[in-house]
Amino acid sequence: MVRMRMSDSKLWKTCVSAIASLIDEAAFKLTPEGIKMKAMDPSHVALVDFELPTAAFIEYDVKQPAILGVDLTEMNKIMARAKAEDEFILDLNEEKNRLILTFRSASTRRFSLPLVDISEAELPEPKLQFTATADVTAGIIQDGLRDAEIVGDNVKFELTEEGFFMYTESETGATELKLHKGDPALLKLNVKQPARAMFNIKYLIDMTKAVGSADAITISIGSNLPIQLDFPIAEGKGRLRFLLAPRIEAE
Amino acid sequence: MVSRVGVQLGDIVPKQTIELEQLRGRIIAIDAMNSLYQFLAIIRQRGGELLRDSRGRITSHLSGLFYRTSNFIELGIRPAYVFDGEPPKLKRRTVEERRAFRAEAAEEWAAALEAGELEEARKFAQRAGQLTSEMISDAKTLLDCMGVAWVQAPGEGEAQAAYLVRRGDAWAAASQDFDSLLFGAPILLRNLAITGRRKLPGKDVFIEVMPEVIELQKLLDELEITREQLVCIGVLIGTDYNAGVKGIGPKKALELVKKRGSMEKIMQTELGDKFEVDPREVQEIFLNPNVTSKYELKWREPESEKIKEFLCEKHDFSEQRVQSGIDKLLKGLHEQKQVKLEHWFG
Repeated sequence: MVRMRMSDSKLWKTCVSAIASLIDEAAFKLTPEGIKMKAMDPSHVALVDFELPTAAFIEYDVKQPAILGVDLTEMNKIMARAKAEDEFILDLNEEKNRLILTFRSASTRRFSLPLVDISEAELPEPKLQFTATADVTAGIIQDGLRDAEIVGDNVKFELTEEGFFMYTESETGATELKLHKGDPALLKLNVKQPARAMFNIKYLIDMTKAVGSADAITISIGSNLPIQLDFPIAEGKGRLRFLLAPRIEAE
Repeated sequence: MVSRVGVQLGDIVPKQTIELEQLRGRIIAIDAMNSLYQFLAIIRQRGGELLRDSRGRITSHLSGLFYRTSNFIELGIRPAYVFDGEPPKLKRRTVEERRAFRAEAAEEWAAALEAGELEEARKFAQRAGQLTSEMISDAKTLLDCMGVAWVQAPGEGEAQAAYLVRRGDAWAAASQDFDSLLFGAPILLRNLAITGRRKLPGKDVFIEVMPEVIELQKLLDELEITREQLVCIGVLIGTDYNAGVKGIGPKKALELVKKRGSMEKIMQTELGDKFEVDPREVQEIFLNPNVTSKYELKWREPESEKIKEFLCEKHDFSEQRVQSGIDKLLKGLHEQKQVKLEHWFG
């Protein structure tokens, strides 16, 4: 038996939307402790690491570990139909190998989604030693990325003791975003060693678009290392983390 | 399509088709001669004539090399072409046979053309393709202009390509022949040069050709043999260096190798006198191949002006099509600057 119930749909909606922007199918691992999913995008440039412990649910009933192969594109379409305040229930119909998604508010709406077979090897844990971290309001990052997109394909992130910076440059022009230490949108800054790396803007836009603009994103970087983005979900009890490999700066 | 070359292992090899897209970011060591011969075979006019420039020089191989390679690069694949050096002595007979096969096909082609049988003509024409040293040096010049890496093998190109993969400098060796596996390539990639919609020779039927991946370890595990035993199977059914034992195909050879265990043991049976060359000498070619560690894989920015000068001015290619190829090269190069996450996996 598998049954998961959440008091509203917002969390699942946001997570699925963010994950679906990177990967088409995912294997969710269910255990009595909670739900986990980790996968790379087809080009192996980005990775998503998702975890929701039982505490994020008002009802969580998973007796036996199970793996649910989900077509995320389809699930995302279904979740788009949910209103944020709808109560959300996820059931598994083992007989028919289907997920049942229920949205409950004034009415009860139900979708069924066939499971798919996914055989994916366990991903190793990347070895990354970030030297700088910052908590930034999501809206600031989203704006910065939209600005950068006008100018080029790649954006440089830089963290120093002075603050958080984004730069983009191309033949068509240049743009920059600066957040200095003390600016209200720079919620936290921890720089062991200043770091800078360049990333593809499209990926970053996809990763950050689902999150609410008032939420904080924790950004971790190291020179020429992947960037790690952590989104606060389920009051810090869960994890929605993205990794994105850098681009080599022109020689 | 080309005259039958290499070890014919097809029947006993587990293969897996993949999409070209899945090769994004991969370095592929491509058997250059094998590719050029495939271009000569498939890049033809309707009656089977090769493409030529206004001075009559063959350009089918250049057309294939340029457009295929720019497609690969646009897809984020990093090709490294490996050219044959001096073939092992034992190959001379094969080389002679292939030359004779092509000469014969060329005659049949002329006859079919004369008789107005276009389909027949095309079939024979495909078999008649012959690479000259000038065509090979043209191919290298073109790769240089395109900024594409290539390696000169001291011996067999396939052996060197396999070596690149074994050293981790390339992800797979691309060739139509299974010999790469005997040379120890951990991953063999087939159909790379001919991926896409292809007409079956002699028929009005089109098929979709997809790249095939063959993993050496998986193959060995599945057949429950060692690489030495795989080489032994090759030698039994025939390679480019020996004719093999008459009446022994892949399945029989596999059975035999599993039963006897090694070439030494097989030679002690009545099969011992059925080899016309010493099978141990042939095995040596595969197990201790003539390869070099002195190579450098470097991809550079394409030199647009040089490409146009070479292809358009010297060989009468369409400037517009060449430009679109150059655009693909530039786009691909831009994408190669994207690092993969595997880089940080322990």
